[in-house]
Amino acid sequence: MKTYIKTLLSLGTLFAFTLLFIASATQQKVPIQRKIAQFDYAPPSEGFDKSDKVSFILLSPRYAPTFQYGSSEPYVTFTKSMASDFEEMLTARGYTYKGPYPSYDELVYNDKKTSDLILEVEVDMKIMNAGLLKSFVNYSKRTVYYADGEFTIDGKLNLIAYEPFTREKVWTKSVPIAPARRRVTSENKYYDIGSVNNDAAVWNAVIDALQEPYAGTMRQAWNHLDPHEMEVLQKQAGEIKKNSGFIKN
Amino acid sequence: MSFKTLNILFHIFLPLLVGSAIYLLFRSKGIVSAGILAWKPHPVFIYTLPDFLWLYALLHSMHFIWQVDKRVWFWLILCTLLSIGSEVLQLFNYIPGTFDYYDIAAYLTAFLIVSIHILILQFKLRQYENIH
Repeated sequence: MKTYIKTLLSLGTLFAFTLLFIASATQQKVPIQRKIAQFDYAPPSEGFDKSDKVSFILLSPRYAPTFQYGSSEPYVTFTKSMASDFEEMLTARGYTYKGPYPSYDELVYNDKKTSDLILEVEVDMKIMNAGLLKSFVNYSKRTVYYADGEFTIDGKLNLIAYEPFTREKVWTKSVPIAPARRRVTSENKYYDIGSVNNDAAVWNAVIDALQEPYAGTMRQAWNHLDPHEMEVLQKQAGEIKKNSGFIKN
Repeated sequence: MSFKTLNILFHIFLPLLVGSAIYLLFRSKGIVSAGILAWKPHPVFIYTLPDFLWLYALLHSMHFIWQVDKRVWFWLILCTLLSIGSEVLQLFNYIPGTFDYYDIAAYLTAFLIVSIHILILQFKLRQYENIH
């Protein structure tokens, strides 16, 4: 084979391989679209009992103290949505309510005096993510973090009713949050461990896992807000209030 | 099948095929990311091995074209430098991709293996010429 043919063949081969390298290197990953954190439950419009006799103070749903992600998104939106849906449920049931208040400390005397019950919602959520977070040390000796594995979100919703002045508990109900299991591989890798939670793929998987049991959990909470039961609680709270000495009449 | 054809299949087409298969199966839209396969190999296997195999195939292509001609070294070094250069350009974000020392190590390893292979062949050829 003549030299110029070899040279041409070499150039051609080099060109072909260059194309292969470029095709593999420049294949753009389509960025994952982050889902919007939306959680909604619409109470039924008919076929249930109503009562306008009971008045509530609604405290904003809060996470159990053991839950470490409560102040970050999408968990903040989760409880905010829950607060709105509890407002909707109380309205649909015919109850009057004040709130939602961020905490009991925000309540003033008149709020307590004019309400029968305080309704508190505690979200006791658990995220089982052992083995989800992975890491390796890269060429510059820095630790790189990414998510690859499964996680499960479950827990329960604790519904608690108090007498407003004494905070005497008159009712507690526990509504299970059905376990939602997801497998996820983060879209990117990060030097900052906290950034893994904000990765689009991880975010979307968490949103999915939170959305899946939401309506079912709220439906059970709705069933628990039955007027017949609430009217009994109202009487009990009235007795407590009367006997406590805060309001004599 | 002739020895030459086998050589081409083993040193050029097989590495190309394996490298492409790893790329297609395990990178961003591969079956692992889609959750079809639970097992995920080490990142070096997914990201570095294809680069090694592709350069290995390219260098062997050059060897196939130039045989034991000394000018083969020019092409071997050129291809290796271009590969390493592309990695360096990635470091400074001139071209897309992620700079990785493992890739450079893979390129150098491919160059080393093919070089040793050619050196052995050249040595054997010299011995053969000395005898005859």
